[in-house]
Amino acid sequence: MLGFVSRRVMTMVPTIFLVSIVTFLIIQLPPGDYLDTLAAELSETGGLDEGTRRALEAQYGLGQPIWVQYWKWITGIALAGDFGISFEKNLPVNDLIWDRLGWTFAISLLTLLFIWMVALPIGIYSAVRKYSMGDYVATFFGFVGLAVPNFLLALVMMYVAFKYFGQSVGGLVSPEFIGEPWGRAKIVDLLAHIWMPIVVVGTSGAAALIRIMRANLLDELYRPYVVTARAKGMSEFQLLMRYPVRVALNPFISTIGWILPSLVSGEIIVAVVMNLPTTGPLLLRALLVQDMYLAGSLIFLVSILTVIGTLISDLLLAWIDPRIRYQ
Amino acid sequence: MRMHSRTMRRLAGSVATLCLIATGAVAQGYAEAPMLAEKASSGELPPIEERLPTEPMVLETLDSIGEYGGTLRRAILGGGDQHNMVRLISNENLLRWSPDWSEVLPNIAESYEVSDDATTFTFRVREGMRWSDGAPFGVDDIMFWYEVFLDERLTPSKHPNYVGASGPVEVTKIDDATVEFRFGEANGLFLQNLAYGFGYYVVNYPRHYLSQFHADHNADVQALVDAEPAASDWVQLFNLKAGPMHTPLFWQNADRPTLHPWHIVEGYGATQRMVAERNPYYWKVDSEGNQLPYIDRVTWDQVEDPEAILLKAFNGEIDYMARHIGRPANLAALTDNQERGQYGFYGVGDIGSTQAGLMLNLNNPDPVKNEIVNNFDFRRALSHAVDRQEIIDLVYLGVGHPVQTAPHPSAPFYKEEWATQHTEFDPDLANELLDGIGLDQRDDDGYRLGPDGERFTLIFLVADVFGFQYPDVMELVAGYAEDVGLDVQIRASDRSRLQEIASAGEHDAYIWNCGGGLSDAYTNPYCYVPTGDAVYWAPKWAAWGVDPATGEEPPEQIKELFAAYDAVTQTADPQEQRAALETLIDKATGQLLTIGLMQSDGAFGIARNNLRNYPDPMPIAGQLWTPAPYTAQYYFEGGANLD
Amino acid sequence: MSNIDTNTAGAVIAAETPAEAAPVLLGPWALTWRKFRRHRVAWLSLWVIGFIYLLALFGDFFAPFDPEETNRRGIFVPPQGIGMFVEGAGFQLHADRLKMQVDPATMRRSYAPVEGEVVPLGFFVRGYEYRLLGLVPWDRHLFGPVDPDEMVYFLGSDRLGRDTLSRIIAGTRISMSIGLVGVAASLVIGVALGGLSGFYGGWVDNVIQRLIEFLRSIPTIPLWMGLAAAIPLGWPPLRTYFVVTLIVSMIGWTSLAREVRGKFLSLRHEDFIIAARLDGLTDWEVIRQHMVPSFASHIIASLTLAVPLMILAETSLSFLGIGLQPPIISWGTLLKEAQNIRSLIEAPWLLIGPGATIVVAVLALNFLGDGLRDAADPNAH
Repeated sequence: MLGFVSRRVMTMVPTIFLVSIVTFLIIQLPPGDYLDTLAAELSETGGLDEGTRRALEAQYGLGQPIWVQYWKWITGIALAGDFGISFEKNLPVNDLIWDRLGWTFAISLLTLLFIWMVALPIGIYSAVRKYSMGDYVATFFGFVGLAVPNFLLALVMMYVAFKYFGQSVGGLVSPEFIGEPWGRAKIVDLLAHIWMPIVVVGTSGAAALIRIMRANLLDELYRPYVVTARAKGMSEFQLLMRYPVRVALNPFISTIGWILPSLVSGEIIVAVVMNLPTTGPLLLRALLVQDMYLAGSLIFLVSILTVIGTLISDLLLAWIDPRIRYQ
Repeated sequence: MRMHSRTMRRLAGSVATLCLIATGAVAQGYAEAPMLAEKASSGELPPIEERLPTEPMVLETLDSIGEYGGTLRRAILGGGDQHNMVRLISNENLLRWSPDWSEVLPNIAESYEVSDDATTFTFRVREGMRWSDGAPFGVDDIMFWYEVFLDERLTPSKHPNYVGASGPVEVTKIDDATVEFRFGEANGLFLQNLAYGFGYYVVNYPRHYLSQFHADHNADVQALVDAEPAASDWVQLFNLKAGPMHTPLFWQNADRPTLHPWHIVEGYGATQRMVAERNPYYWKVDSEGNQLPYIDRVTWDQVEDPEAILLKAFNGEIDYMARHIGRPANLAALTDNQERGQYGFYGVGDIGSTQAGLMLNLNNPDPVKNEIVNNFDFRRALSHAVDRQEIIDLVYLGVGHPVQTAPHPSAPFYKEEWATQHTEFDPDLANELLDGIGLDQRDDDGYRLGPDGERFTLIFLVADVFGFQYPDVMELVAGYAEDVGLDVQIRASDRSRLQEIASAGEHDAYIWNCGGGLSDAYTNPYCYVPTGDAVYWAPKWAAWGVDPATGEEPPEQIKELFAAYDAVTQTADPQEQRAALETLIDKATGQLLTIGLMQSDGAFGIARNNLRNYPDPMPIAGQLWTPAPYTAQYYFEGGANLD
Repeated sequence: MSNIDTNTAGAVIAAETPAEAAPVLLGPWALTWRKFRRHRVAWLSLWVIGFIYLLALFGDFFAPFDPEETNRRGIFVPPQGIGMFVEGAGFQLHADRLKMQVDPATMRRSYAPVEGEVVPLGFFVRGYEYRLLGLVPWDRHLFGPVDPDEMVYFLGSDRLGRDTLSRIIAGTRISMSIGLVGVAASLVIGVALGGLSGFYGGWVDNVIQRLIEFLRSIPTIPLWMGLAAAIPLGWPPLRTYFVVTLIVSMIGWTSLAREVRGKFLSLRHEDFIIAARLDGLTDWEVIRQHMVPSFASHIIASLTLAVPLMILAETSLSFLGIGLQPPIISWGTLLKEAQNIRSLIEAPWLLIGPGATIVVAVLALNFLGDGLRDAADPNAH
């Protein structure tokens, strides 16, 4: 087991390294840099004159070749935990991201739980009652969540919450709680708001898991050991839960790895519409204005989280399923 | 004879009491907000008469004397929206524009004098005025700005407001309260320029705070440089701390003292909510001696998507806002929710010379296109091909009127023929003109061929920002162009990419608005003559205008425009200025340098039902940063927000 | 567990009654087809998808109006119903003729039917001119107003007075074909890399697996944004569109590759493959003649399931403002134009129309894919 773990961790390192290079390249791809954005914004009221532009270029280190900028950045992270400066906000990236990363992580985890809670029963039901009316209805609802685009659903939910429930929209808490310390009322308010992005993102993620659950369970349901158990007098429900479902649960664990980036991606769009204090809006804005270090650091960190997530899910899977350890 | 000590003490006591009563009598003249009065009596703040200048400026209220209290709530976008704050609270210069934008009045300057030849301007500032941290404000701060302005290391390029043909302005301190500005030649528009937004430079540099970041004033500045992660030498540190007010830098430094009615508490971009609190040293009072501002606090909640602002407004979370939401398209939705949100509407005079103008790049690097777009008949044809009324009906819901790029009817120098020439929708005439200039051959799809035998295509750059709805306008224009055989392609993108291409002059055409519809025609005539940085229709001529060694030399009729504008700037007499301006606009509009489409009067804002003293309509322009400085006299009736 | 792989050998179906003589031989595809037809919803979905692609091909014929034609007298018209009987004239398909009223205080448009007047509707009517399949000029449309100068809004109109139904139909072409192009690209890359990975194993497998894992850990939105922002502005829309689909398929191929690899890995040890090898077939022949047919139907199912993801990806990209933009018409750009409070309040049909279309297309594709996969799986009952 230890050998497996250490092997997996070793292969993670080059992946992380590669991810950092690619994320840096991605944000460099668009032509121009942050100063062009600044010039555009200021053009209505005077513009960015050549002298100031050159001074800012020197200040931000933008004139240098790409590999120099990358090296500065990656060594800063590796040696000092310094993720660079945000050009637009003139603050260290560190000051900006950890709060938001926390929220992103929290919402993603809650969404993952939500997906499991929804996909598990629907998947089981539609496998057991295959081709029945119930099967179709259940999968239909599962897939409608996938089919409706996230941003559309987010806007509609926001509007419905505002119009029919009188809720204040645009944020995770109502305006009167911003800046207030955490108390019971604030937590209740948070819960009243946070279910919306969870449902919006969760419903689109549930479909895939329903399908997987159903397929895997179908694989198991007709195997001889199931028939044996039934013949031996086990109740249907016990039979179901004890054997096939457990086996079919494998993919729930192995898919944590790739579900996380899709949750984060889906969350970006929803967060923009619903105005959540997560990495999504920050990242989007940073990409649009080419705030290089902020965007790069966010993408890098999110990718790292995913890589770690995959590692954890692989380890969990290996722990549960001995066959994998010996591959 | 020696007086008895007890008698002495009693005498001293009486004298002291008399003095107290006397000063108390004087102090009866001013009143302050309750939250400040508390701090004054507990000793946290000096008493009111010490915080105000000896003769505070009296700001006439627009409706009525106000009540203290309340928080003005707004919304701001996550980035790039610093003008949301600039325009609301920070436009405090030596001079100001009257609320109706008709004349220049004193502001920080108590009085001013202009020499007969309009080269020398002397300003007297108020004695006893203080910065928001209590330190005194005086001509020394203006001289500090001047020192920074002249310093090549800190200000490599200087704002044109303060530079004449013969070089930068000369600023001399006459005494602690008087300062003189001298130009090498007549500068007829200097006072107006000081009243417009960019007049802020002069009074925005607190010496006592900023000199610590300046190597010539602080030998230990390196320690501060080391402590600041975003700066690697003192020049960068200084630029960080002394950032220009219209850039995000200014709003990220909450420690910097200002002369504004409210002072920001935290930096922009760091938090979900920006807060600005009352400046206890604000130097204006109303006509009854109450220290302004009335409102205690201003807050901006950060949003990512402007649509969220609408929802907040419906929910009653916005007290005063025109930005991002005040266009005709939203009027119906806002009216529906008026009762719930408890707000009313006011007009915004957002009137440029045209709301949307087709700017063909007259400096197009492609020689074929260059020749054709510089042909007056081509531009005339395009102008006649467009159905302006339909654009107004569809995109602006019928609110507006068709015009060329020309002054607005309410401007004193308006002439109807400037606005209406070549605006008739006449596709037949357009076709005739296009045939006449050699574009009479068409290909199989019906598009005209250029002189090189290829289909003649114009690629228009379109930015979809701030709800201008340019993509919609361009779609319609492309349709009209197609009807007369012109291939117009649309490229939509975010503003920064387009800006890059447009300022390099590599584009075919751009669609944007033009200023210069009202009084800003004097200072912002960039659609009549290629001056300034944002000239999309002739960037190379604009460069030539600044420095004849750069850019491209323009033809005679453009040089005439430069000369005409010089005539405006070189006289201080308003009559002469106006005559010169009219000559300029006459020559410019006759050439159809840009093709204007319409002026739309439909902009509006929402204000909470109990907010008072806001101007209605509120004039606004690119350089006119309203509603400041009049926000200081807004108040909530009842002294608090509505529930 | 070994099993009789009924897909590579012909299956013998026992006769219905003992009295019949010869058994019927059905090839693997025929078996799959039979199984598929049992899945009723999938069968229905096949028809739905077929119809949608028909719309994509012959869109102009089905659309009653020019999708780009504006109408200043028809801003935000709610969907109009079709009536069947006119008073005094018997059976006549028609719609109300509407008159626009403007509320001067709010600038809101409202529409009231004009008494006594109707707009007659019919089939195969004359309308705007177009080229069928891009080749044949024609001007007949399936259904619409008899008088080509009239406008009737079956699904409502947008803020410029354009017909929503026609725009949705016009958008079908781009939205559905993005799926195909993207999926084709994914197919090529995914099968190639997945096959290599699964067939050869060892370090090839390792490298490719790490590549896949690494690509999957990068969140897609920033990747797309970065790639899309690099597209030069001067490019014509068609070229931009192709590059966008390629970008979208950049991630899509990874799941296909994993599936292919999985299948190759499990098949490698099957008896019949070993037998084929022992028979002397080259690697390539083994792959082509034996392995590919056994998982081809799985691949088809996966591809079918990938198309809706591409369609949804396109809508997300349009929402963010990268890739396709107006005036190109796709379901994504239609939604983007309607993604604001004003449309939600005043013209919800602008969201419901394209939204429902996307939902139907995605659902249908998903059920179709599910049905194909169930049918192709030899272990399913």
